Amino acid sequence: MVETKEGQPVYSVTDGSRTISLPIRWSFGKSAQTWVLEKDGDLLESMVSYYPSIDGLEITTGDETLTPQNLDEAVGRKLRRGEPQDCFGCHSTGAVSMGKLQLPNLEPGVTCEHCHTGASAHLMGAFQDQAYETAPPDLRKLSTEDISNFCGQCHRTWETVVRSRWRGEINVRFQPYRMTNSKCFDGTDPRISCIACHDPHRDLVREDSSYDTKCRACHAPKDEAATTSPKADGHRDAKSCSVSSENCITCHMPKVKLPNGLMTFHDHEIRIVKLGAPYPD
Amino acid sequence: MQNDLPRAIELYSKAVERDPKWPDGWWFLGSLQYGAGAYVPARDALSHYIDAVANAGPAYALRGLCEFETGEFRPALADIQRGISLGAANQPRNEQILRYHEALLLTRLGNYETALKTYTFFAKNGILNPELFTAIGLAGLRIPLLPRDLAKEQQELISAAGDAAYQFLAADETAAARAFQELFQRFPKAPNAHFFYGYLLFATDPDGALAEFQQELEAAPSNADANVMAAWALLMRNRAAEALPYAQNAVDKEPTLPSAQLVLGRSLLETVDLKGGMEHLEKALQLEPDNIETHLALAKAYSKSGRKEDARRERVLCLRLSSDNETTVERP
Repeated sequence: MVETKEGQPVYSVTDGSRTISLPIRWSFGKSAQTWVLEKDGDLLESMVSYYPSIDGLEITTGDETLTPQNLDEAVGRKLRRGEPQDCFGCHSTGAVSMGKLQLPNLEPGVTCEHCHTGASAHLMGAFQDQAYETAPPDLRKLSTEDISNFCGQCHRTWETVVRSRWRGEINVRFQPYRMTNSKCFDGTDPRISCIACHDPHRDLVREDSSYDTKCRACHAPKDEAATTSPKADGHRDAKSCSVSSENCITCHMPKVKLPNGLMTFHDHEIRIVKLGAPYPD
Repeated sequence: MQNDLPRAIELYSKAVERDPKWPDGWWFLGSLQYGAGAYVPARDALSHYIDAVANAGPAYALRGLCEFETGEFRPALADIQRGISLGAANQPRNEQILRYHEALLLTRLGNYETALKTYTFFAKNGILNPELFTAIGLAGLRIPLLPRDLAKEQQELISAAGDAAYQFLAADETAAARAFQELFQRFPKAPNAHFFYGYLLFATDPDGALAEFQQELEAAPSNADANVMAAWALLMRNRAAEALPYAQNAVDKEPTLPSAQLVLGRSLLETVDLKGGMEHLEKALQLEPDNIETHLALAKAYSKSGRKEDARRERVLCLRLSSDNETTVERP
C-alpha cells in the first residue's frame, strides 16, 4: 500500500499480522513509477510499482520471477553493489560522481548537467566572461553511432543489451538497441540518429504523424527529394512506401507491450512488419 | 568371490577379445579399469565404447577423467565438457566430480577466468573438498598447475587466496574483503594477489577493481593482464584517454595477447583514432576469432567509419555469439 501520512509518502507491506512501513525516499519513472526505499542501511527497489495504464500497483518490471520468502523480502529487492549508481545516475542529476553515489548532491530529474557535464561551470563562467573557455563539448557534433551510445547510457546501448542477453519483448524499451538493429541504421547518417526525431530538451511527442517528415528524409515519395545531408546521396533511392505516406511509425515501428502487459513502447527496429511474424531479436 | 576387480577385468578383456563389437563389454571393462587405476587401458576401452555408441555422455566423461590422470590435459578437458553437455553431470555427485576436474583442467591450460566461473558453482552450493581452496587459489593467482603439483612452500599462500575468493564467490563480500586484506598483509609480494581481488570485484565494483589492478602494477608494472584489466575498467567508465597508456603497455609487453590488442583497439577507437583502433581490433580478431568483445568493438568502429555492411555483419555475429553463451544477466 502506498499512502501519504503527514505529508510524507509511505510504502507499506503486510502479511496480515505484521506490517513494514518505510518512507518513500525517491520516486523513479514516468511510464511507471518505482520507488527506492532505505532499510537497515540498504537501498531497496520497491517490489511493486505504480502503472498509469492500470492506475494501480503491480510487480515492478523485471522482478516478476522473484518469490519473496518473508515480509522483509516482500518490501523490495535489495540493490546489488553498483546498481544504485545506475538507478540514480539515470533518474536524477548529480547523484553519482566518479562512479560513487553522492546522494546529498542529488538534484531530482534530468537537468542540463545530466547530459551536458560542465554546464553549471559554463554558466558560472559566462558571468565571468569565460563562456568560451568553459563551454562543455558540443554533443551535436557526435556521429549517429556516438549519439546512440550517449543516449544509450540510460536507454541502454546495443552493446549492453547484447552482453546482457536481454532477449524477447523485454528489450523493446531499449530504443538504441532496437534502432541499431534496423536495416537502415547507419552510424554516420544524421537522419537516423536519436536526435533526428527526438528533441531531448522537450517532452516526447506522442503524435504518430509528427514523425512522418523524419521517415521521408530518406524514404521520399517519388515526387519529393530526400533531405539534403552528407549521406543523402546514398539514400535517395531508399524505397518509398507503397501503402501510405502518413503515420509511418504505426506500421513500421509498431507498438509492443512488455511481457507484463503494463507498458507499451514503439519498437525502434524499423522494418516491414509481416503479419504473425515473431518479435525480431 | 565378490569385488575381485582383477578377475573381472580379465574376464571382460577376454569377452571383448572374442566379440570386439560388444559395446557394453567395453563400457564395463573401461569402468573397472578406471576403478583399478589402470587409466591408459581404461581410456582405450572407453574409446571403443564411444566408437560404437553415439552420444555416450558418461563414457566421454569417464574417458576425460582417465586422460586427466594420464596427463593428456587438452583431450581430457574436451571429453569432460562433451560428457557434461551430453548429460553426464545430471546427478549431483557426478556433477561435482566433473565440474571440479573441468575447473582444474581449465586452470592447468591457462583459462583462469573460465575456471573461476566454474568454481562459483561450488561456492554458491557450499561445497567444499580438501584441496578446493588450493585449486581456486591457483586459478586466481594464474598459476597453471594442478594442486598435486604445487610446491609445499607455496601451499599456504595459494590456499589462503583460494579461501578468500571462495567467500567472495559465495557472495559474502564483507568476509572476502577482510580475508583479502589479511592475505595482502601476510604475503605483500604475492604476484597477482591484488589482480585476483580486482578481477573478482570488477563486475560489481569497477572502481575498487581498478584500485587493485593499479596496486598490482605498482609491484609489477610489466604485468600484461593487470594492464589489460586496468585499461578495461577505465574503458567501462568512459575514461578512454586514461585507459590508453595501460592498453599500450599491455601490447608492448605481450603483443600476442588478444585482450591486450582488444583494449588498445578499443581505447584508440574511443579516443578518436578510428583507423588505429580498427588495426588493433583486427589483430585481436586474428588472435582470438570468437571473442564477442572484439566483435562488439569492431561493430562500433565500422559503424563510426561508415562501413555499414561490415558493422551489420559484426553485429549479427555478436548476436550469434551471445546466444551461444549460456551466461545471462539476472534482470534488465
